[in-house]
Amino acid sequence: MNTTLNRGFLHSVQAFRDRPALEVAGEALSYDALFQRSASLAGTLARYEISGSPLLTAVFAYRSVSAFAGILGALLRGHGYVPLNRALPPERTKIMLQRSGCRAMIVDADSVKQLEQVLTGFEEELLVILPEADSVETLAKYFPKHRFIGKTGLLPHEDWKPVEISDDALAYVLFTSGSTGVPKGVMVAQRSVLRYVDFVCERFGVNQTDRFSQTFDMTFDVSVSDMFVAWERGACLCCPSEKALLNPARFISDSGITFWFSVPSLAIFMKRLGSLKPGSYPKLRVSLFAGEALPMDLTKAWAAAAPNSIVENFYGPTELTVSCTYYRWDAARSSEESEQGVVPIGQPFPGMVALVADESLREVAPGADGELLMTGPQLALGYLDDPVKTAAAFVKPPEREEIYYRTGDRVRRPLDGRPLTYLGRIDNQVKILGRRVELGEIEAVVREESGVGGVVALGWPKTTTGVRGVEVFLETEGSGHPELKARVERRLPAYMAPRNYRFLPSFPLNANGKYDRPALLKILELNK
Amino acid sequence: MNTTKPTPEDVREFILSLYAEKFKRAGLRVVPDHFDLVTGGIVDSMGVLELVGALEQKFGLELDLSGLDAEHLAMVGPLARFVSAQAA
Repeated sequence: MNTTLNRGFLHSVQAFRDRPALEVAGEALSYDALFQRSASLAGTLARYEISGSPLLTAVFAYRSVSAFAGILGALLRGHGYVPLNRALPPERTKIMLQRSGCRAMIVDADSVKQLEQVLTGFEEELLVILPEADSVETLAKYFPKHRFIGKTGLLPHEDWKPVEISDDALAYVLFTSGSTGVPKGVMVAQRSVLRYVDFVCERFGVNQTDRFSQTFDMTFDVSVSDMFVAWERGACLCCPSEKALLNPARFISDSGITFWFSVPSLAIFMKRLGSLKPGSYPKLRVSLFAGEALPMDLTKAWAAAAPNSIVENFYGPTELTVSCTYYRWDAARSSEESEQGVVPIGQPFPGMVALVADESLREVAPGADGELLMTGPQLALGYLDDPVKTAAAFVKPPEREEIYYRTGDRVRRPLDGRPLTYLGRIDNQVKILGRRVELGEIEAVVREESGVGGVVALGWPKTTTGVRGVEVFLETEGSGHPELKARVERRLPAYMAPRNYRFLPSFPLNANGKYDRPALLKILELNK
Repeated sequence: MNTTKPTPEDVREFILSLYAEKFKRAGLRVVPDHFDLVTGGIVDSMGVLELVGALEQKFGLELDLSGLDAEHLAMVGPLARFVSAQAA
């Protein structure tokens, strides 16, 4: 059995050669054209591979043909890919690149500007492919240690040869916020992604006439769904520009989208723009939401706006490969099944097993709440080069044989026949527009940059889907270094950077002598 | 909290202060009125959603976005005037 992630794409190249595979930035590529671009990159990666290179290629590209061809090129080379994002601070991109161990990188035209910052001081020799660059002379002169290949240096696609890879070959390494101050790389195997892709293709009868939205950043693992579900069945992936994404209604109609997938926040935004009028999107046949809590009222409005569409709530952390539970919205019963105005997360994907456990990791009684742990074929391989964090999150609960991933999500263990319900977090992780934020990571960075030991970050204000932003308290008499804000922003993605810094001579403590986070939240509420 | 109605200039100042570091990096000393934060590479589309939230929080209001031309949403001047007008 072929367990490589490019299996479906290669099949579609044969079966649907001239059909559209990708529309991005005003350019449409057929399956054949996308294959040629990707195979050319794969062949070039192989030809100039640095010896001792791990089976990973970084793709520093975004909403461009090179981004998608780069990912496919890495896979055709037999590598996993590591997505990098120019919307993140270059310092963070550099840390991700270093931690990944990648010795090869594909860079698109708009990301080149940041290359200098990312490469300055980078120790290891790198192969850097710039598929759109007419000349790489300047870069090569500036960074003599690295090898740069521009447009004219690419090998023809005919030079690509298929490679054998192992069952556990990586599909991607994706970095998520880490509570101790450094992002951690989640390693996901190709076979895990295929389980996800196969289930979704079957469930929704995906076919070559479908047109998929691509709303997610590539550094957000739900983007994997858009790409590989579409290409598995010869469908077309439609990637709007950043600007076009600000008018999703127009994007849906102009691109003839049939299969929508986004964070609930984007749908809330559409509702606020007045874009969810009943009957607005008759062509949509599947609408999926994931990444954060899905409000019931929003789902009702969406179902009315897309009257011919199935609407489902998907749930799953990166460590369980894109999504691992699903719930279909049903006007007749879903209102009653929703708790606190939030749509349930439903039931595990086939083959996945859920365990709702107490602090000793023993299963709680039906109807009780606890932490959700899951295992099955979509379980990630752990965190790259981080056995300590891997051992803490991937555990064997008492009396169980398998390794489970501790999601940190609090859910209700369903009574017979009922769906799983998401209730909140058991730790200090928050979601901002669907993106995972460890408050501990923000605290660690602010602590380092301020030299102040007492730092508490809080998600604030709360919204129906998560929190809007982050506020930070520092335990100090002073008012902080004037450069503090700028220094923190150089290290954290914009959405994680604190909106306000507040200074208190001493923090309130709880009965255990720890910082009283609810009391600090109260201060924010009172100052609203 | 802000109780007086913010002028377009107040809103503009706030937007510019939010992204001061990014403008500095981009080498932009003067930000034109119709500067587009998205096409100008300052924020991505999700960043615009965050900006809307930050503006509402800062000026203590809930914006009615249904009257806004999506083209203008990421433009500094038009957005500042829109927010100021809604705060009235």
